[in-house]
Amino acid sequence: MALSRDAYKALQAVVGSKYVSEDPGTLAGYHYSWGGPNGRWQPFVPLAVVLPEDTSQVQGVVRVCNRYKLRFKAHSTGFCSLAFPGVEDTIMVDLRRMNRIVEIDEKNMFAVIEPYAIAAQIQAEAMKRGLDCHIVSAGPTHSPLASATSVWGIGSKGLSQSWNERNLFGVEWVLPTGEVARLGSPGVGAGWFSGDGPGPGLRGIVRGTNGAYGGNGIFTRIGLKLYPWVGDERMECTGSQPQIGLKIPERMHFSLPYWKNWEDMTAAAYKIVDNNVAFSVLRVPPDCMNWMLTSTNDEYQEAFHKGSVPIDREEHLHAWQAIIAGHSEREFEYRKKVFEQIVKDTGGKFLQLTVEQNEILFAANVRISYIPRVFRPTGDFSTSFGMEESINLMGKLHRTGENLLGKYIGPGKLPDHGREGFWAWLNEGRSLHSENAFAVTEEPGVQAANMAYVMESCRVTNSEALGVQILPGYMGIFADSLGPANFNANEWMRKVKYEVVDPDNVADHFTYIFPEPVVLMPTE
Amino acid sequence: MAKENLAMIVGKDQVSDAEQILSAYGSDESFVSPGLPAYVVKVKTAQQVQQIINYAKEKRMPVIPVSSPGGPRLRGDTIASQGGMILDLSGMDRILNVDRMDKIAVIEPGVTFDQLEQALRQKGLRAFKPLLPRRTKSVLASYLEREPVVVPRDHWDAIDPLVTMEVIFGTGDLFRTGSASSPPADLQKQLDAGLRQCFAAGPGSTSLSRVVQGSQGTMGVVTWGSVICGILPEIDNTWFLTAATPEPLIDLSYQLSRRRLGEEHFLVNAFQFATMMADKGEIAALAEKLPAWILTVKLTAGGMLPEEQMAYQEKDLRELAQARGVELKSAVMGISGKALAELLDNPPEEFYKMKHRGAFQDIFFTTTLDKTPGHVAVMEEVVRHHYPSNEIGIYLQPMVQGSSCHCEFNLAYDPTDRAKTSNLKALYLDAGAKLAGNEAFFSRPYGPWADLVYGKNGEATALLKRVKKMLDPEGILNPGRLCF
Amino acid sequence: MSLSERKHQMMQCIRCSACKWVTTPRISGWDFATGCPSMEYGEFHSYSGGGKTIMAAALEDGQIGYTDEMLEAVFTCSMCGSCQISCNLNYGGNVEPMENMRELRSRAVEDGQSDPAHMMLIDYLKREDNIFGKPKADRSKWAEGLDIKDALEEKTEVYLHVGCHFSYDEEQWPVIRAAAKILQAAGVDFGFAKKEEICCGGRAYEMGYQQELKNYSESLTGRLKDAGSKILLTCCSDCNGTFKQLYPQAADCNLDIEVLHITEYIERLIGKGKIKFTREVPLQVTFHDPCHLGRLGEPLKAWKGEIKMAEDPRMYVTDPVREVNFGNKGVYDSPRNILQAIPGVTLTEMPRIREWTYCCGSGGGAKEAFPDFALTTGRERLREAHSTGAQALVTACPWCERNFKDAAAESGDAMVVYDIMELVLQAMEKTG
Repeated sequence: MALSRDAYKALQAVVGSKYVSEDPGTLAGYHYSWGGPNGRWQPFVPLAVVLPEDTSQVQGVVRVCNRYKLRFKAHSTGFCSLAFPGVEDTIMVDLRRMNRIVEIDEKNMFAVIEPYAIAAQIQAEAMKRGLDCHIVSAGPTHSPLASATSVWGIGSKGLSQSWNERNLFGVEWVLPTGEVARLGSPGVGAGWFSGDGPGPGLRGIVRGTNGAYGGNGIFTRIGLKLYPWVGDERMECTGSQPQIGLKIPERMHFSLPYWKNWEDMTAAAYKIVDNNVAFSVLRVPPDCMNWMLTSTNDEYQEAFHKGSVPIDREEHLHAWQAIIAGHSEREFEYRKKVFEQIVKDTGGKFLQLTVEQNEILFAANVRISYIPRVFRPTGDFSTSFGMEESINLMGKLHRTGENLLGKYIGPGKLPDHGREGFWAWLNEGRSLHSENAFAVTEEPGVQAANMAYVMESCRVTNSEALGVQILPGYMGIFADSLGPANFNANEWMRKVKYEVVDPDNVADHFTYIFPEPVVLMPTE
Repeated sequence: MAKENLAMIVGKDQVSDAEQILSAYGSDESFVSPGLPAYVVKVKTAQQVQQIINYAKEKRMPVIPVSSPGGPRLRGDTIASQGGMILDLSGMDRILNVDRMDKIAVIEPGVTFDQLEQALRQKGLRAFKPLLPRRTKSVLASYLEREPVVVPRDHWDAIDPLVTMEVIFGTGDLFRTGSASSPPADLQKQLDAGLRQCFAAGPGSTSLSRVVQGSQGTMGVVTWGSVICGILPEIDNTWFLTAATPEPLIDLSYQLSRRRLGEEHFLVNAFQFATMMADKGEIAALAEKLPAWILTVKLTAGGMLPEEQMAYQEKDLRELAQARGVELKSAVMGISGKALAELLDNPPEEFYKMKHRGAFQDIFFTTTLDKTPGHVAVMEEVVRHHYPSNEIGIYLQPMVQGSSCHCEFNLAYDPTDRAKTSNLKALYLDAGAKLAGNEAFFSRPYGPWADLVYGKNGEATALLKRVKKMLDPEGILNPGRLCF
Repeated sequence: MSLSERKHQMMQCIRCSACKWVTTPRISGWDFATGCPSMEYGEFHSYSGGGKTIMAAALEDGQIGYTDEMLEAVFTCSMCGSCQISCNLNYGGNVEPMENMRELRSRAVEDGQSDPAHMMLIDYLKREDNIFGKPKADRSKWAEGLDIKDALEEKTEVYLHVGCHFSYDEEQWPVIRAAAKILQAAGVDFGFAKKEEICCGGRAYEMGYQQELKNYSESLTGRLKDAGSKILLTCCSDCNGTFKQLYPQAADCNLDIEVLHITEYIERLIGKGKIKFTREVPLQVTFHDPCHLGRLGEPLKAWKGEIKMAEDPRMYVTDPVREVNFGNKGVYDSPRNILQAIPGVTLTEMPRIREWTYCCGSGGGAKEAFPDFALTTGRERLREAHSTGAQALVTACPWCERNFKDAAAESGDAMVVYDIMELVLQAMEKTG
């Protein structure tokens, strides 16, 4: 269907003619996406893209969509957020012009942000005030508003910064009906410090483990919790492009302790938590660190074959990257001392890296740049099973992953970048986030192996009691396959979408929940 | 007929329509109008709850869930304003699991703080508690009502310390939230497999536990929940920091939050402190002698090097205080930090707010700490000529790691004095309205405050009503509360 | 590599939007975080490096054809290379959005879809060897009275390539004359090709006319061979980038001579004591890194090879190993060292500098085709200069200087704009 002239004019009337386009060239960038079901080019070309500049314009666009029986899909920076139309007759709502950091409340440690303020900007502004923002794995160019309202929202500084489902305060939400709801304290004009109440917490229908990826409306402004930062107000870059490190500030320390097995590493994790000594801990596969420590694939290959990559796939398999921080010199020294003792007591050792390497990995941990770098080897990567559950399950989960992934690695199947791909960290010290992520290629055999592995990993997660499914977080076509095993969560999602927020299915449902069940793979 | 049907579900002895039983639920300490239920039904299992809800749904019979085994009930949220049945969950009082490693417990709704605390201590853990809860208070009810806990450091998010839950919605559907929703469905099997119900969000793209929280029992009935616990410290020292005005202590409190220094951490005025600490009849006298404002900080240490940990924390705290010209004291007017810490750990038999004049009303809301002096000024203006301003207890509790603050004004009164009671009621309503107009967020809108906030809440109120319709289509759960 | 040959790289774009910002570790606040002037102006994704890459892929794939709107996005771009530096940070040359954009423009030209304004410039170029359409005969007017050798007639150690902008923009003659006076004062044996100087071809290449680059590179190669000079010196950053990066990379041309920008050479002369600063220039300045002096002036070797999937471990590699444009080897320190050597000058840096500099807005033929875009971009950079508290914005490129002055004049901005040569001359004994 082409966009009717009446609808086009109506959109122009809302956002101004300069900010509506139905040009095929312009639209190309709005149906090309990594992470979709169809390679890079996704099947549906939007009818138009609009660039609203404020909430009232977003509301106007949504009302036009209602009036002319169109769908809409919200879009921020577009990385890893499945920001493409999943259905026909869609208007893409690119929120690029809504890019402000409206306020940073230094005392109360939160920011009020719009959709296109990126994490790197918010972090830089926060650091000037002794604060930091949680940055999800997508890295510094992602939209924290999108991550907090609509996507996973998980990043490796979880030990001290939780994750964005929990960092969401007040919410301004343009519902697919065209209504504007303000959840929490902004609803009664009291500020942006709380997203819960009055009474029930409607944050619970905004999102869950995952978000709706725009399938439940458009979030135009949020309060985002910030966290203390003891480092410098402006971080000093070291090294040179692309191996840019950060000078490790006073009262911060980066190290890479490793253990002989998952159990010892788990024991260390519990002690780290109980003694409250670390700012962040992160586990990524050894190759990922080596990719970070080399400028190009060519450089990595050369080092790999010379045996000079610094992180060994076997010896350093069970390793945390740890940042220790202290608000005072006394606190820092105490924490460092205890941390070192923990490593010793649990049979760990510290890997000695050069100053430059330490600074690069420190930067990767603070800025969260591992995932963007993971695309370098093959241009694509996939993630499969994992969990948000007890730290005690790390060994079981990771061994299961090793066994499972092993079956799918080999010629014509998944690339061999090590025996597993677990990215793990501790959320608030109360649970372990771990997901098996690995590089893939576009070759058909690899894609088939990937899909088979992903499906099997979903089944294994349930059969081995490894906690809630982390893989697709239920999005779209997976929801009806995974939900029945989790007390029919899919049906509650369906009710929220079609009974509460979007009775006419105006917001693109593709990455949220279909009107009728779509079962791909029974997982029970 | 209904009684027989209910008895078939829970057993004859567990259903009552005796007036003396019913009347215990007919009114409470709030200004909410009394209302008698038709029945009180005591349940023991989730299956019974589910059957009761299905029955009530069919009969359009209101169900008012009550978890705490005893009163005084304070907020009017358990009054059967439209009749129906009290669903008494206090008999579901099992502690289903305590895990030291993950610092988490799974409890039923009838479990009280006392009960939980005892079980946790045996494993080296402690419960996160609100300020001096009444001894009969259900832990889950307290957490579901978002009562602020006194340890803001570990209060990361509004839902804390609650994590996951099993809940039966008004539809009759049994549901599990967060990581508790994952297979196997049997809780014991989950525990045996190493799962600890320790991740709150989800499942899928909803976190319905957030919707149940703060709903005053209008969305579903929680049959168990997992709750975060703290580590029992090996050493603890409770300190007082005092000042004539709240501002320097507010500044200090922000620093404590930022550094996550100290566990218990709250700010009270002299009258509030006296109400907490003094014996009946001695409250006013003590309040007069106390510093106007007192910030309490409990430093704790444990783990590998507890003495060193305590030493650095005390030095850091002292430095922070000195920088603001505030003195660090181990006791005020002979009341030691240790005494307060003991009281916090072991709340008194008599609910402390009733001590002064036999009854009280508290006006509380969420705000940010920096706005609280403004709220105090509004309150003082409201009470002028109507209530002695020096007898207002003020309690400021940083929440969500200091990003917001529970602000509470306690007004004691003699319930036998009708004129004063009437006066206080007017004052209570007036204060609520004026504070709401001054950016006070009545996030837990009990009684008349519901009207105050839901009228202003625009589309969010309409949205909330649709959520209610989804989870309780017949409107049987606690009708008359909130905006339902 | 033609557009068709770049299909693999184009499809490596993951649409992460990194190309819209300066390299993320360098972001120092909300303001001045963006890196792409085109995106700032056009707002739709198609204006970004990634967006143009996706359009190019769609065109190559036959999904789209040319439209006015599409071409406007293609050509409203100063081809500054910021997108490429940001992209290469993590993707290590997998995508190279700038290369994709260059090939997209070339394809448009091949398909008769050149920007009309550019077509006129190329006509001028073909006629007069400069894109301004000025007579060849006037090319050396700037040097009247300066007694400079003709490098094609007399052997000189230094072959000065003046560049079209300095040759024909009369307002900028004081700058190029200053450069000549500085060289003379330092006793440098230099000359230039007088009326016979020709364009470097870089601007034509950026507009999509790739053959012009080839032609001019061959022409210059021959002249340099005849001249026998040891150093090819240019005062124009655009020419600097063309000689150091485009000639070897895109024209398969090895000039076989040391190529220096004037700032590099002056830094060398200061080091040798041939330039001494005796006069104080009391001025608080900030320095604008021209793109073609920095990231687009990074010397890159010609590469012919293939991108293939290595088997162990599996990943894309280049064979032979190809250099990646990270921007580190641009000229950044020389102008700064010069400024710091001038007595009285205080240098305060802008947030976006060195390889993550923000473009002035005049490159790629954008100023000629879309003047409003160029001026808007120039104003943004002036705003950034003001944020440092500087009294003057110093640069080292006539294209940048021209655009800044135009942007300042158009908006009534009082910021003073200098070429670095002007300050050097002011600070030198006897010559000031």
